[in-house]
Amino acid sequence: MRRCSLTLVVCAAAAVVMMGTGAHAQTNAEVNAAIQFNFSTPGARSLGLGGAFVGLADDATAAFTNPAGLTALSKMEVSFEARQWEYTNTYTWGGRSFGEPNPDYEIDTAGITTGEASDSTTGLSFLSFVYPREKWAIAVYRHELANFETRFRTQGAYFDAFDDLGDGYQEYTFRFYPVDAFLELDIVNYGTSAAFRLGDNFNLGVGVSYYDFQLDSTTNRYGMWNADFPEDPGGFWGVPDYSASNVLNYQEQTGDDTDVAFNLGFLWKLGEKFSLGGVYRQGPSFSYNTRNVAGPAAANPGEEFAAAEAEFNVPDVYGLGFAIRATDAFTVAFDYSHVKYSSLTDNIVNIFSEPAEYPDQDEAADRLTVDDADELHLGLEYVFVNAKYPVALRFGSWYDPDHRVRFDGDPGEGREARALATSFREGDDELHYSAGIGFIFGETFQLDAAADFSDNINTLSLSGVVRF
Amino acid sequence: MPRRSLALLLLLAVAAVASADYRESYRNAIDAIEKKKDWATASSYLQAAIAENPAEGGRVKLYGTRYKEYTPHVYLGLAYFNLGDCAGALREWQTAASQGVANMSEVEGFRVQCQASARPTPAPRATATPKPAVTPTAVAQASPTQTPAVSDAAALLEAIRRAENELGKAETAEGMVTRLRADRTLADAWAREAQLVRDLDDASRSLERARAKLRSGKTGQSLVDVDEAIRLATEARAKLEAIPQRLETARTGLEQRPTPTLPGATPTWPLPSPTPRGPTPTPLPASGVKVPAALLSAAQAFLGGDYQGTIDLLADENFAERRVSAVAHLLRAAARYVLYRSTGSADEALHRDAEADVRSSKRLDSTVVPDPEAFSPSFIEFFDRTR
Repeated sequence: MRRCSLTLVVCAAAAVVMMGTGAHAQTNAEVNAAIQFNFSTPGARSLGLGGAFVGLADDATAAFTNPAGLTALSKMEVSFEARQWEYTNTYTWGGRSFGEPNPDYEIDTAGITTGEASDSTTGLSFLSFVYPREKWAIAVYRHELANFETRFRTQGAYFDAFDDLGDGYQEYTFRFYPVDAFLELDIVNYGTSAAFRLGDNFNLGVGVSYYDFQLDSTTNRYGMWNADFPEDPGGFWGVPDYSASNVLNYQEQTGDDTDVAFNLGFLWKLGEKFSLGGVYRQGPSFSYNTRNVAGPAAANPGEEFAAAEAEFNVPDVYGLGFAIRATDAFTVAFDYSHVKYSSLTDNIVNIFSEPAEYPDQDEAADRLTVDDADELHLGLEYVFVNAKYPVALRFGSWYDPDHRVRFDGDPGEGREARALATSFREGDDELHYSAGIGFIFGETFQLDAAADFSDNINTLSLSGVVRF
Repeated sequence: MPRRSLALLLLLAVAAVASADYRESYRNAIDAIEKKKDWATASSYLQAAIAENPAEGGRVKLYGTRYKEYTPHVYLGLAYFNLGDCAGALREWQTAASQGVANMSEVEGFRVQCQASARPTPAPRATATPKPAVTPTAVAQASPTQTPAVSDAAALLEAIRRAENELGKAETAEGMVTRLRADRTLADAWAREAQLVRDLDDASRSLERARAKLRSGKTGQSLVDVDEAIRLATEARAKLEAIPQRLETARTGLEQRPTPTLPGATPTWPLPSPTPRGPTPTPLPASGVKVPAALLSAAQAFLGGDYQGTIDLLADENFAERRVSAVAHLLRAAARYVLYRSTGSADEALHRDAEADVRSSKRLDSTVVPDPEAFSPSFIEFFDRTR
């Protein structure tokens, strides 16, 4: 086996590889892989119940979760919620994915090293008004579907792969360019829902949402030079040089778009104690622009290598829920949701080069995939009904299958496929645990708080309801 | 493993399901009030709730995490007040107060108005009189200058209530007689007593005029018109309720003649044919079915407004035929229910007996249901509600 030496030719080749390795989601920029959607249902009560609310749908948050439930209300309601999300994003920081480490360099270690970045956002996540009548109800609401930001740096992992860099098809050692990336994503839903009572026990709901989408992301890639002293900072075997003048190229993703989508739901009361609900929520689709531009460390700063328009497809959701009102004090809810995450990898755009310019890159990107998720939610609520001010305790849990974008199958020995297999790795299924408390002050005001914990996302919520 | 944990939790939760009670009635009552201001429906549900649990106290879940104090007497009083029954309202509020309901501020204003209306009437002083609280049909349409004094309003509301009550009874009788008129087996009896047809027509016209007078009485807040409506409805009811007995006499006279063309030697169903409302109704015996004399007499007593007589006549009867027995229980349930309501819904034993009769009727023959043309809406609702 021939191990490549640190030459300008090899570094240049490696640079090309790295430009093609960040492929994810709607574009192949690795920063997109960390995006978290807030598909949990709005309201602290619902959060405390582990998001199991489709079959219950008996407060103002049903406007989004299952509009059919709005007919349960008999008084006008205003509700509001503030949430804080704490995200822990994992990414390929360094190490080595393919081949044996070079013992001459400390930085080249066996196995992939995973990095973790923690970020948090806070926002007014839900605001609604419900106007109920005898056989129908309408609601208007604002809901933050996504409020996400992340920032992280990578060191650049090593891997061996075969390629023809001008001196025949042979094996080289490649290194990912170190990156410094950030991404901010906001999707706000301005919706209106209507519910209709069809007979004594069956309710139907329909909603239309106007979604406002904002995306801002930049990923800087830093050069690796210093051929004479490759172990020094900024060298091929050295720690990265993150200085602004060392940006070799950067990728931008910017979007400001809107879309309209609808949702449908039903709620069927099966006697006094049981109810069955179902919902379909269409995911909106947005357009945004991508660019790959040469940085100050490149020979031709400012040159635009590629520009394209990409689509951001929010997954559709299908939900089915069952609720049991065992007594006036005790309620159980169970939801099943199918989330069409696979739409995230429909029509991936190569942010790094023009179409067909590097067929190997395009081919490897086509092998990025994400599985649909089948979520299970369970929630329990107990209310101390006869306290001076009734207090509600809630507990929940939900199963969140892995839905990371990942490279599908055996990458073989080629560099593009191995590069993607290094950056796009499977995640783990997660189990969320939630707990909440609610204070009911007469019939006009209610205050709820809840927290949902998992390995990668913690959510805190505070919400209130005013009836009049 | 996570899936298994979730399934286990769900199973544990399902095992906690408990039984239903008066709460559903209370929920329905509050729903009728808040969404529709439908005081009549609310009144029925509240009476049902009180029948199961007359003690005020505790909270009932309405929906979500919205709970309401269980004060059915307070709300039943409010329903009576809005239906124009100040006496009933005061009685319910007194019951609530006697049970120690702490917060009656919601109805305090109405209570004062009702108490004022019960005192000797001072000279009306329109400009200084608070607007009476309101039935949706009566005072709500009044202009400020027409607003009567409290006592006038109370008298008007009471008269409207009586008129509606009398009209309801007369219309029930009219429905009953109309069905008898359509019964082919009684055609000869009708033909023989032509006066019966004229009385039926007269009664129908009187009823129409009574309805018109009641409408104008409500619109113009005219006590004179409402009183006239009561008179016309009473007159019509008397004529209508006399018809079945006279018809039976005529039919019996025909039976005694040896005429082979008569429909039969035994009475046929003079009762309103139970109307099947279930999904797979059983065809009912529209004619030619032998009706026991005791049941016939009980039906006539019921039509004549003798509800206690209806109960007494059926007290010791034990009919062999299930369908006949089901009808007997239905009739007795209706008689007991009318008595229960007419005594201010105070006799719980009567209410329980009526429920037992309904259950027996349903058990004997589930296709026997009260005909909307023959029985009052409140009884039909009671029948439907009773399981």
